Amino acid sequence: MKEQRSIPKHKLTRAASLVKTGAKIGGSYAKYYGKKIATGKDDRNALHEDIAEETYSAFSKLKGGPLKVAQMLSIDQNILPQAYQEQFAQAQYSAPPLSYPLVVRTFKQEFGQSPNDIFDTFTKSAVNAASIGQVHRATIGGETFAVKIQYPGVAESLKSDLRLVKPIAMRIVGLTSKEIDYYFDEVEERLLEETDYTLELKRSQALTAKSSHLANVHFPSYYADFSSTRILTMEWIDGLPLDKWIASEPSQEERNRIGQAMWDFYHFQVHELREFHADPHPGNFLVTGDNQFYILDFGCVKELEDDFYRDYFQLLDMNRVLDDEHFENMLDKLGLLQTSDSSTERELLRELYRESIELLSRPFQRERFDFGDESYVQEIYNFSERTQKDPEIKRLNTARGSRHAIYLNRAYYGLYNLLASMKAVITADIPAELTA
Amino acid sequence: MPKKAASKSPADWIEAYVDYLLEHGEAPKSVFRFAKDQGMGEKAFYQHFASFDALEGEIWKGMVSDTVATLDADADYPEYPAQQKLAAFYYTFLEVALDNRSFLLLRFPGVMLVGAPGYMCKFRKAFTDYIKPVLDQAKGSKEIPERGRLNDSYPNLVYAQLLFIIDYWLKDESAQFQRTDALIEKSIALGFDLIGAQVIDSAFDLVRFLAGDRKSN
Repeated sequence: MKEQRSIPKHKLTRAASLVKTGAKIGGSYAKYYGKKIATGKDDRNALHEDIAEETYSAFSKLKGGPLKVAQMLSIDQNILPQAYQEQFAQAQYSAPPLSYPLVVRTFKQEFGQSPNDIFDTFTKSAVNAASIGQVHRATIGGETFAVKIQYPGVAESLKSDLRLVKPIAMRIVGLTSKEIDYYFDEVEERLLEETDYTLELKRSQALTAKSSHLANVHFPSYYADFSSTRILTMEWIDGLPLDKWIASEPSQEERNRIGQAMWDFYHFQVHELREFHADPHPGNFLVTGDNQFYILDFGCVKELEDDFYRDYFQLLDMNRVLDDEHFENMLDKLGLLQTSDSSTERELLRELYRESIELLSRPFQRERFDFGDESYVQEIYNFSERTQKDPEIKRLNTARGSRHAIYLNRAYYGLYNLLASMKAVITADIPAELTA
Repeated sequence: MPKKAASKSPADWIEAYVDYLLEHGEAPKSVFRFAKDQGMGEKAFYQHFASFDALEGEIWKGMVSDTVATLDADADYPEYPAQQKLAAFYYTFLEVALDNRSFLLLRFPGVMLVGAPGYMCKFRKAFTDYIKPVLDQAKGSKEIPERGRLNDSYPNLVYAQLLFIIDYWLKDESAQFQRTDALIEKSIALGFDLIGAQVIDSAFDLVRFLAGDRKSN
């Protein structure tokens, strides 16, 4: 069989290194429970840190799927405890580079020419690593380009990688295969899209054109002539990634301006276009020397169906949420309550969801919202700690809801995180149609 | 019956031979018959090649020399560190080999076996002649450590890697042979890591220790 024949070595070594991780995670748990019994102290955080480090180091050795999944999980606080996120957030910085001869080969395959034939200058080594590719800087005359080149065979190895990651992810979050399938199906679909640079080019051009009227938001230009399925060329933007910009201590005024621009950008995409940039990672936002705010990387884009959009965002209407019957009805529609739940379980979950909605929709409910308010971040943190530790809630609260919510939640968690680290004060409102 | 040509260059003979090989799936029965089919006397064949094996040797050697010629024509190539030179060789070789893929499909994996056909000697020699200066460069730049006589075995190890890559490539069904590209990146990285690491020194040390053990007992 075709698959069997072309995979062996490759897949075997990958499998071996992931199995090792699985075994180590088992070991860490043993250590944790041993310690807990011995000391009577709950050292859960140390446990998570141990495991996160080991999982991350195994993932980072593998290009493609696992690294993407690692990054993906790192942003979903629902699924991963704090310690994992910190480890996985490093994921993008540690990809081993493609050799320059391979870059040349890829160019020849895609354009029939080497980089030096096309550009006046082209850096021999990558200036930036991305999880499924790397970025080189190139120039023609006075113009500077960022050229992203994909690792070979990424699209093909993604599926088998995801299959390898699944058992480990199941172990981390304690879910069964059936419960986690919807998650992996959605992730696989998005990841496969990300390997198609032709699609990314189209989306980048379309979404940036539609968003170009937004104030204080800029996008690089994209160059179709120098792009193909495995190479994507865009304008080079000289700027600091958002996290570094924040570290440079900009004024409150600037932080508010850029925070608001970011909020408006997401608001417009989610609520107007219903198609949004689903990767709010600090590396995807740049601030230039003259404080222009640039948004990059439309590799991961999620489209929302109207029905799902309405069911989901009607949760922002507190009048509906505060009415038990109405609220349960909405939760049923979203798959957050299931027919198999007993009436006490329904009640427990209903109150839990109500609390989380009240908490997470708060920025929408007020005219102005201060993301610098540490008590808010602390409240979210406490809430997730409490729900993650409560065995009854943990049992009920995992793997529910629509697959469409995964990337939407991810985008909003990412957005909240970035706004919180910017300590920005923003103005938000609920789209009129949702409260009608 | 082809028209009688005044003379045939080595390249013409090679082309005719490969055509025959691919159409019939085996070498011609005799030089006499083959030359006659080409409308020539066998003397014209022997003028260039001593045997079919010698001719095949030239095909294999030609793939290496074409690759090296392409590399030498590249402005960036001389500046590459050894590891990248080797990668550039493999990628360029696969481009060249793409013209001969059917021929290679017919000949592999027979050439991988112990007691490979005579024509592979020329291939091996052409490749090791190419790789020796690259490995010397690597030693000079400390990409690989000096290990005395152990270094002498490296050209053969790299040759084994080349055969492994060709074999993988011939079975590769991914788009644009992307999996082979990935294999090249990974196996070169592993190769240089292994050669560079203490692993080999430690293993060597252990073997020497055990060998000494046995002598003293």
